Amino acid sequence: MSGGEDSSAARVLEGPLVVLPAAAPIAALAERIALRSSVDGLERFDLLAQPPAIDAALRLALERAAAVHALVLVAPLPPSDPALIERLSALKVPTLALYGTRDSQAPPTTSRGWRALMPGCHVVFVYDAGHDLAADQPQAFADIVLDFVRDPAAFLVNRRDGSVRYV
Amino acid sequence: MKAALFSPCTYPGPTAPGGWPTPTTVYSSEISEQTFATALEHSRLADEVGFDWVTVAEHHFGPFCMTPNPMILAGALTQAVKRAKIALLGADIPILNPVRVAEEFAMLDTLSGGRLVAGMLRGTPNEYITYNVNPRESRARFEEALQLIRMAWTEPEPFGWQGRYWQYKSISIWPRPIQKPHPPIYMSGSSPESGEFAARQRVGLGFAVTTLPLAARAARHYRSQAALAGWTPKADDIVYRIPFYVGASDERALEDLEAAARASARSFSLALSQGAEAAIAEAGYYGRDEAQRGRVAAAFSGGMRERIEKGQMLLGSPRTVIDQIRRIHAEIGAGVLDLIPGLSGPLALASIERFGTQVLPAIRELDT
Repeated sequence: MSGGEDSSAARVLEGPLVVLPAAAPIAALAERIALRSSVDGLERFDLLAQPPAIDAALRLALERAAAVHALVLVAPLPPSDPALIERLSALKVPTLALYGTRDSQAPPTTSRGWRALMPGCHVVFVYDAGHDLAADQPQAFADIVLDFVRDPAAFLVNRRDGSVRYV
Repeated sequence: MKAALFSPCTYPGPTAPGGWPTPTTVYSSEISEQTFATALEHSRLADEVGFDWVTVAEHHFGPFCMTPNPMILAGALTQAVKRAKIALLGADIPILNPVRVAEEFAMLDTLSGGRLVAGMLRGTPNEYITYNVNPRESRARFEEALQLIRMAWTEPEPFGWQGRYWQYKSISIWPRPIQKPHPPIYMSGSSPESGEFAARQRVGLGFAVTTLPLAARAARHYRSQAALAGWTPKADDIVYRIPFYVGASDERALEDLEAAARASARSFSLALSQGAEAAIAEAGYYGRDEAQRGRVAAAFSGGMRERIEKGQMLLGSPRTVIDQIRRIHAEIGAGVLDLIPGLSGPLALASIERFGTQVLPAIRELDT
């Protein structure tokens, strides 16, 4: 998520991800991200995209639906291409759309448009983050992304151990 | 100007000595039952004689205020009170589950036909011991919870929340509030930080346990911050809480109050051990206006006349009380008075009735 030299390409996570320690900042997450412009040769992968790579990621997910384990869209606006929009309702890839509560470019209300296009999409608001969620709230961002890609089907269920530990 | 009648649900019987939390080694269920019955009776009367709001509030572990969950009493009030708004001033949102608070508020707004006033407070310092929450986190928790509650009321589709203090995977509360976009929100605003946050969030401000000069200064700060944020608070956006007793005449009012004070020499204490008080202060609970803590404590040490002068008590005949209120309105611009009954029994009922029939009509015009 850091750097922007290939911002036109979807960022690809080679999955499955190893679960990082809870305290790992975004830098640790970034190390797990293979920045790629191609997914050739990958049988299974997680896909993480932020503007302006949202549409490219959606097209890739549609094309390689069976290979995409999880799709994470960061501050996405609905695509402007009507043909792409039409195909989205058929996209069966587990998807998480993240929005920062302080984002003025893609405010949380933008998520309402997404839901109509992708009924199965999970929407999560990252508190006190602007448009660059990963930079503004690195820990919260890393935690929610890793939680989702670890097991998208079980995403809604809290599996953290809530017991008090005495060390 | 508007008037609210606050029901603190103070336990009127004898209690064991000691600070907070108060032991229940001396306790009567009958007295507690009667306390809630009285709150309903006062609120019904206030509604009948023209009060605009009836108010409940959250406090824990003591006889001072027996509504640890004010939502429950508010639920009863939605049925007992036919016209007035039901104000919670408030829920102590930093120590609660904000989604639950959003749900309870939405239920109350629905049960009352859209009459909810949603106060969200940080609570007194001792509340942080109640549910074992770090007082250092008080303000940040408050700010996150308020925004989460508003989002839960207004977002039409399920959403998750990845916050600093709360995380939820999917929220979609039922029922929804009746009032659109949501019920009016108030927060307490004695400190500069609170005034600034309230101005940014465009919510109302309430003052309690303060003095006229301190509240006036805080209200000016709130208004100037609101102007920076591009809006102008209405008179209704400022609430001032104050004990009151309206007697038949000035002399009778003072006599009644002195007689009551002689009959009941008890006072309540929210005092913690000194170590705990210091730890809460050190944690930064009071924010940038730490010094205000001492000023308020000192301000409450004076006699009756001094307290009236400082805007800490309304006392006298209807005419005198009207003049006292005019001064509060002129200095703070408060549009709502949240009134704490100063006495109990038949005297309290008579005072509420006098306020509604003789004082309220005269102060209505103050905002126009």
